[in-house]
Amino acid sequence: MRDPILQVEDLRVSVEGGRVHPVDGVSFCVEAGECLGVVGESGAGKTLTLRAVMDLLGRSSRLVGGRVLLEGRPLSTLPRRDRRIGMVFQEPGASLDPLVRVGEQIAEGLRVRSVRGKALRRLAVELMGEVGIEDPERRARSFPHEMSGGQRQRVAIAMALAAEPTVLLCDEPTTALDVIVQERILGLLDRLRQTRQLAVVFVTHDMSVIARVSHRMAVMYAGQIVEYGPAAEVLCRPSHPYTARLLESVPRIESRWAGKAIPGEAADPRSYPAGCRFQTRCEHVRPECTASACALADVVPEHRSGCVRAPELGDLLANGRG
Amino acid sequence: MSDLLQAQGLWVSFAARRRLFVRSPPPLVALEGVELCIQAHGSLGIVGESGAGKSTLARVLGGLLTQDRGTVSYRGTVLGRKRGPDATRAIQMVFQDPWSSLNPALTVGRVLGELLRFHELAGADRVNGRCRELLELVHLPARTLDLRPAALSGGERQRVAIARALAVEPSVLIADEAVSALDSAVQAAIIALLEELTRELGLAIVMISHDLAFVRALCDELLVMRSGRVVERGSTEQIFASPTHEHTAQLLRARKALGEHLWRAR
Repeated sequence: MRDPILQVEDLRVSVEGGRVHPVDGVSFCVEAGECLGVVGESGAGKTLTLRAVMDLLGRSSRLVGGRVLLEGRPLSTLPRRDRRIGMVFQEPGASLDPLVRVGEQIAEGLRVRSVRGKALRRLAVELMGEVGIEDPERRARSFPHEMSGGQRQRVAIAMALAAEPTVLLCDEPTTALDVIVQERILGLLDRLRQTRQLAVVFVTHDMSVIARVSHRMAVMYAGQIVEYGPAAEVLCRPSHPYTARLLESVPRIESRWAGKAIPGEAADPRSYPAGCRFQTRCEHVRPECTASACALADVVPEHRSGCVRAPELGDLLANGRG
Repeated sequence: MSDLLQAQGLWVSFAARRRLFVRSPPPLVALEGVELCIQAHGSLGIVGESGAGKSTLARVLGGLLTQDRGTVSYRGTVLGRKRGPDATRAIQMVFQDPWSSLNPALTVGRVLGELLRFHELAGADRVNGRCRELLELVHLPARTLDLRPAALSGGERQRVAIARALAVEPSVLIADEAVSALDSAVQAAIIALLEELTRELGLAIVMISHDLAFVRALCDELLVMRSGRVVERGSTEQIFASPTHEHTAQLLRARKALGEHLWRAR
């Protein structure tokens, strides 16, 4: 494996004065030109993980453990302008200022890189062209409300690219878009990842999107990564009951199958059970599941699962789709 | 006529704000002569890309928006600009965002209770019992009555929103992207719930979604919209098997292509 661009080690985030840990020991790494998909239910800690990496935690949450390395250097020691990480959010409008023309907003990121004068305008327009906005010269003068959701998301991507990032964090960037626009945005992100050799972390709750975009994937549950490995391998041979359940919940267009719900409620961060956190919803639960904390262990090289019964459940989980 | 809900020649346009010194842009036409009808116990799916007019149509059917032209009729009676309490009760909506459709200050018990009292659907002594029944219908525990929306998950909130719609004993439920803000695991649960409710209570359902997989699972009839017009209508299975309009084919292709990534991987 090449040296990772982004390395996250044992990240812990606390809220409510330090008693509650919605992100509890998350580690992953991403190489240049690679996409890591992160999947899980709401409340699993996916967004908070990205925010912690981005150093965008609000006042109520605090990074209490672990570290983030960008090209081998601890992020916390880098001045902000050298942290070449871009982020794209779910709501295409939310990262845009409604009162500022979009070209101006893209230029803001360029100014941070000390681009000045005529080059500023030229580069901003070039970026808009790169993200697939037609007639960028004219559209640069538009306000966000004059654009469609898909176009706004393209502008948001251009803004993220303006700082010449090596890492791009995507937080459900296509969830608010319809299926046709979604495919175009996914295609754009794919192309940018290749041409700019970006290390991409892509967060979503949609397994189909994960299968579409990621090389490796991480499945998050209750603040922890419960399965981690090459996407094709994890999707084909899920080695954690939660991953298998998530795969069963995907609706299928080829038949009248709306997906199978996962029974029970997601674990409450205020009272995680001891041992495996999925035990309360797991059909394969055994006494040993409550005994020890579940560390990730290799199922096969590079494919890791947090389920202590992963070796014996292997075939059952892989074939158990609905 | 067994048509429960019928819409004829619906036109809706949104005018831009009048400007004094520049010419105002032309009004945006959101619906251009939309027709639909749904039978008692029927299930109709409405699909289309963003901006096709799906939600505008839902709001007109639900009485939240008045059409410029055309009529909406319920059991053969044309509904006027202001709906009477009977028509309001009969046609209920569930919205996309369970975070904004519930009053954050009220407990679930008050939301449901006030509704029952207002419509005089239960005597004072029965209100609590009826609230519990409603929660049971949507598979929520009785203790939910004392909670406020902030204490509930997205899926639970959507269940409360459905219970609220059911409280007034409607005959048509309009679900406007009711699952698209939820996780796929929760989506599946809500779809299963809607399926169960339409079957057991004999509700007719109008389901608006941009995910064709859900529409296929739940709806017998399908309406495909684009730019304010209906471009294709018919039985869901037939349209899925052989779409006649290019836009329908495009929507199906995009959705199938996405699904295939997963099934190929598996």
